[in-house]
Amino acid sequence: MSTSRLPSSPLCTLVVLAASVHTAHADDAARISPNVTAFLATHCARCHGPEEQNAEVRFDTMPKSIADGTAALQWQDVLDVLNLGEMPPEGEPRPPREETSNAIEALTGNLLEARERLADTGGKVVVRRLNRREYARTIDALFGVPVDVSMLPEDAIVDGFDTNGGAQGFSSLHLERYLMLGRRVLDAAYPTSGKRPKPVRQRHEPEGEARKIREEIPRLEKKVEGFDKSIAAGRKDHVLRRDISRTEIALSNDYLSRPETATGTLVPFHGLNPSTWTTSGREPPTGTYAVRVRLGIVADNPPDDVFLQVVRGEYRSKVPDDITYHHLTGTYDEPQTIAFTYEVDNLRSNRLTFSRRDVRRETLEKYADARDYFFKYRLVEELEEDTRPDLWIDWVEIEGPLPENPAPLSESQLFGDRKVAELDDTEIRTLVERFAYEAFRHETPDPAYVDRLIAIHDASLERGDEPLDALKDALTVVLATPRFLFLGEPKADDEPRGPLSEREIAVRLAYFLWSAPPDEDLYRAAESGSLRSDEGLAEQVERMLDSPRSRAFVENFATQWLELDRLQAIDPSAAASPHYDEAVHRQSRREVVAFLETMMRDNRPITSLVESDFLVVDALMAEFYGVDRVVGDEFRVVPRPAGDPRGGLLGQSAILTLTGTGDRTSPVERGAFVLRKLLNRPPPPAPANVPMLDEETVGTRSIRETLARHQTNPQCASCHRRIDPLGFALENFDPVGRWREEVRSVDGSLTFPVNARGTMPDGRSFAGPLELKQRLLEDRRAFTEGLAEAMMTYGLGRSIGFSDQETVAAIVAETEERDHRLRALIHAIVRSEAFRTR
Amino acid sequence: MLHVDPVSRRAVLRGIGTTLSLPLLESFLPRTAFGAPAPKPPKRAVFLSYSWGVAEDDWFPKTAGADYEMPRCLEPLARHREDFSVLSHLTNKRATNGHWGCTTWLTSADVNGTPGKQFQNGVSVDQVAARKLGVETRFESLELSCPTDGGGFGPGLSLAWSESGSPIAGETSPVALYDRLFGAAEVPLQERQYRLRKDQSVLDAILVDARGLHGKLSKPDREKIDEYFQSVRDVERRIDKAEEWLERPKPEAPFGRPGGKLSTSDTIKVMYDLMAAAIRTDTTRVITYRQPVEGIFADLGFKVGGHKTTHCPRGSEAYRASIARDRRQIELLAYLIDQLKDIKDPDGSTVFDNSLVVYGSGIRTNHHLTDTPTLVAGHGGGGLNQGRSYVYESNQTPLANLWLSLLRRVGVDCDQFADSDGTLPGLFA
Repeated sequence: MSTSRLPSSPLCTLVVLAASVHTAHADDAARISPNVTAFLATHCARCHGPEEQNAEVRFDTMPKSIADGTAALQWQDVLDVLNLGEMPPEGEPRPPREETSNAIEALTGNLLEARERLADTGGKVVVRRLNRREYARTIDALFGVPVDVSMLPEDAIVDGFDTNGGAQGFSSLHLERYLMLGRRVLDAAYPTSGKRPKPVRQRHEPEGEARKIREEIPRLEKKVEGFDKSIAAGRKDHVLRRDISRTEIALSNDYLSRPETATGTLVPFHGLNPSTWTTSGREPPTGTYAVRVRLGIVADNPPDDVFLQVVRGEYRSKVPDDITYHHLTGTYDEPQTIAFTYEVDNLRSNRLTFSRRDVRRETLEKYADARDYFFKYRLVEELEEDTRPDLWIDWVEIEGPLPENPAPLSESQLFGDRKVAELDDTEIRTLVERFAYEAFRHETPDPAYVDRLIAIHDASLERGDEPLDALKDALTVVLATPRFLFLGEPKADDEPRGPLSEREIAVRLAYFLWSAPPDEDLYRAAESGSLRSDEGLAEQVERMLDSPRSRAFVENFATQWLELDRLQAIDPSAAASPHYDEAVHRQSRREVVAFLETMMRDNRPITSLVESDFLVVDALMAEFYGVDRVVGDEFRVVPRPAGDPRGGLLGQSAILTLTGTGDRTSPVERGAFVLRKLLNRPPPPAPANVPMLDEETVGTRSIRETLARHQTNPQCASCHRRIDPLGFALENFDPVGRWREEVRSVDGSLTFPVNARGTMPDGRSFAGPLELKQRLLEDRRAFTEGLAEAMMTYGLGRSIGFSDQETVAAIVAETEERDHRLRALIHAIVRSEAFRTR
Repeated sequence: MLHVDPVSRRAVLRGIGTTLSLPLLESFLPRTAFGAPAPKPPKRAVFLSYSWGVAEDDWFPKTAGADYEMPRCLEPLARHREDFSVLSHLTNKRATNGHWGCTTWLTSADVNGTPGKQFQNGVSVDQVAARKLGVETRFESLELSCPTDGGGFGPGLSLAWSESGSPIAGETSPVALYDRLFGAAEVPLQERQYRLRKDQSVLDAILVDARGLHGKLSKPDREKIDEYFQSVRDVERRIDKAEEWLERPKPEAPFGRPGGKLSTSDTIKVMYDLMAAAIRTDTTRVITYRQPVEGIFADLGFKVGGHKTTHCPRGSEAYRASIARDRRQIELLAYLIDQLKDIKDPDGSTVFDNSLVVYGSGIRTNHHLTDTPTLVAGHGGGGLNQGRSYVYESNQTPLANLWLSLLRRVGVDCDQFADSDGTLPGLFA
């Protein structure tokens, strides 16, 4: 949208005014489709027309475009009545099904368009509060300390993203919490006790486990004696308990007789599960720690699908903070050392528990709390049947906190070698200014503002507080000040839209690609003027994407765009497939992120998301998919086996699972996902007040047959004729994404061969997932537009509307010219006017 | 345009986020001379809502009137039968999103009706009531909330929306609420005075920066920064109040600081305890609580989620789960009512006699936004026709009529709230 620079005639002024109050101009207003008007004229006009106006409704005079909220409400009422099938009333002839569906579909689209047009802000990015994620990363980047953002109110999600400025509110609870968290950050970053501790290395030798087991035996023997006596006295119910204790004694002796237990521990060991654990102390210094585990599989020819499971979380905690898996190839004779790092933030537990992956965690949990002896006995039996090899763990070593590059506001950077008490008034003021400048992303604080901070400092000092505390009183304020909490490029109403300053571009870039403030390099580039040129900008973007910090972008964008959090609603223990356990549940999510990371690193075409001749898997996911010869924990590119239907997002377990319930597929959800993410034709939200299909009453049919009823009802068909067939194409993937040839009826009593045939919304047909993906590739323009809009929404922090159509088209054209490369898309967005304009 | 003038504001004030002395109710209310009739006790309004609706066939009474058969889901309320009514067929007619159970429950707004905005809510009824009922209390209103796990609430941070239609964040943690209500009680007066003063300087400093930003903003930007100003003003109002309350005797916290990880049912129970405690100490007279339900299923041993229960036929496992969830929620509500009946106002009536407790949701079941579940307990100062089932005209009676009636009942002078087209006959007649 262009704004006139110098309105020279009254007419011009009028147009500018009209735009500024956001009433859609008749020309930009969404028009009611001829489909709809013709439908109403044919079937409704007799009672709602010039002759009669039943219920005071008259269609021939209703506005044919939706220029304001009143018109939108009127047409919404019409749509509701059609959706509910309330009109025409009983006894009147029903319009043909197809016509009703078409009218509903068209009117739904008109209303969505109207809503979008009415909400269009003309490309203005609204000042926005840092969301929780960005706040945490900003604190980390500035201070190198973690912060508990769960104390902050949740962020609003609009258009799928948490970066939308217009939607992020600010209330008094926010202010109180920012003050509170700010103080905590400073207490962590500038501890009263002094400098950061040196790294410490601790090695845990788990053979102590054997001693505990040995000491337990006499106690168990006493118990057996006691039971023997009470059984003799008639307590028949103690027989089972005695047998359990005897079994425990036998197992203990068995364990102790194994030579491996003299130098380490065996996990799991039949009925005993001496899983080893370690912890780096109650409240260790925060930072990155290195963990090394020396271990091996106890078997001469170990299978190639044994994994170590590392659970981070409190003992018996139902919801662990994290679980990771590590592929094992070493043996007792030739052990291996697994190494990984973890972040100690003292928000998550520091307790690590090591066990073998394929002991179902749920099983252990289920029985751990059981008082009932019978259940404990069952557990023994269950584990005795375990024929998988044990793991021998020699030792676990933890080292940290590892030295890191000091953050710009870390203790060493801010104070150097000086103590606060040594600083004179001028030095304190300089220090406060420096602090605010860095926190305000290189904007100089107002002197009057600094005066106030100094006054706060002085008042505390006068009262007898410690100098460091007095200083923190002042600095806390900075971390709750708008210029720190809000991102934005202020522009007065009467100011024309113009280019951002280079500093502002640097900040936008940094929050787009890192979710964090610029680093020294980027600030320097901004100051030197190199961000002004396309080449300078491109150079920075390349550098930023190469930096590990860009993981924040890939991970957050993938999570939000692909709605990966929906996986959390899936309970792996209730999943239909025995192959789907906690490990696959977690690792499959990492696969999606790794896929995007690989695409970013290798600058692959974005069409790989639709269809790819490669997979990105680690040993665990490879095993789940049945891909051979993948060893180790890194996700890596593996060529897709010939004839394999996987490749692209639609072959990934996470995507196929999150669109269902874990025990059932939902072709509707899968179809809607394809429309939203791959075809850029999001179906409208399910209309309120419309009843759902009653699935349970049609138990002996396949889901496909059940859903066929969507097509016979004109209200359902208006959307579902587009949605359902796309989901049917994926029916060969079971509820967790494994391949299947047959599908069960809804009640599970019958099986049918999968029918994955169907048609695209425009009628092109496909006979299964591979052909569906071919059809989607034919539509890659739509996919590219959708991805570009999603990425712009995320990066700009605003909804992408009708006034962006030209910009989106240009970005898409540029991406297409450069082979659809992922980085080309990002460069095109960053170079666009929309990104560089306030 | 400046909204706050730091120079003219009071200079002496107090501790953000921590709380201070709370007088016992009887000691705070104005004393009367010998023999004079006790003053009319204050009215209170409590609003409770949740996501995803109810098991409708077992929630709504089948008939209207006083002798309706108690539906299965409401059975735990039987002991309070004379003290509540079920209001069937009230509808927020401008609600359109079948996944939003709480967003417009208390606002009855048309969120799509503002040009240039994707979403614009209106003020919620509790905030309007608070302007009247909150004058004499330490907090004008209390907002309690829960994380959005499982969804079904719709946009918003609590049930409450400010006068400009911005979401008001609610306290989600019982511990944090406890600290807000009773924490820092042991801090000596001088220290409290000092903290108030310091917090005021903090706000002053913040405002210097905010004003610098505010001067050169366009309208949408200004709205965002105005929200920030509003938050400062709200904290200031609290500081002002804290000053008034600075030297009043401290109330005893009625129980210890809640600890450990609570189940969802226990979280609601503790929140109810804290609500009752806040009312007992006359800390506030208006409370909203957007409460969690997702975890109740797990508490009760069901493996279903809330969304699933909206798509369930009668007789299915998910429907059984919804009934169990409804009954658990109603059990907890009955517990809250017990608590309120237990608190005496100075004239000998109970707090419950002088309260209106509204319990309901913007979703009936499925994705139905019409004829939503609504239950009103308490006697609102007396004279209500409680103990009945009221059945209004299906899909025709605005829920806002209830809000209007309620506002008038608590003494707010108004003729309309949102899309109300009159007051609600029956209960309030």
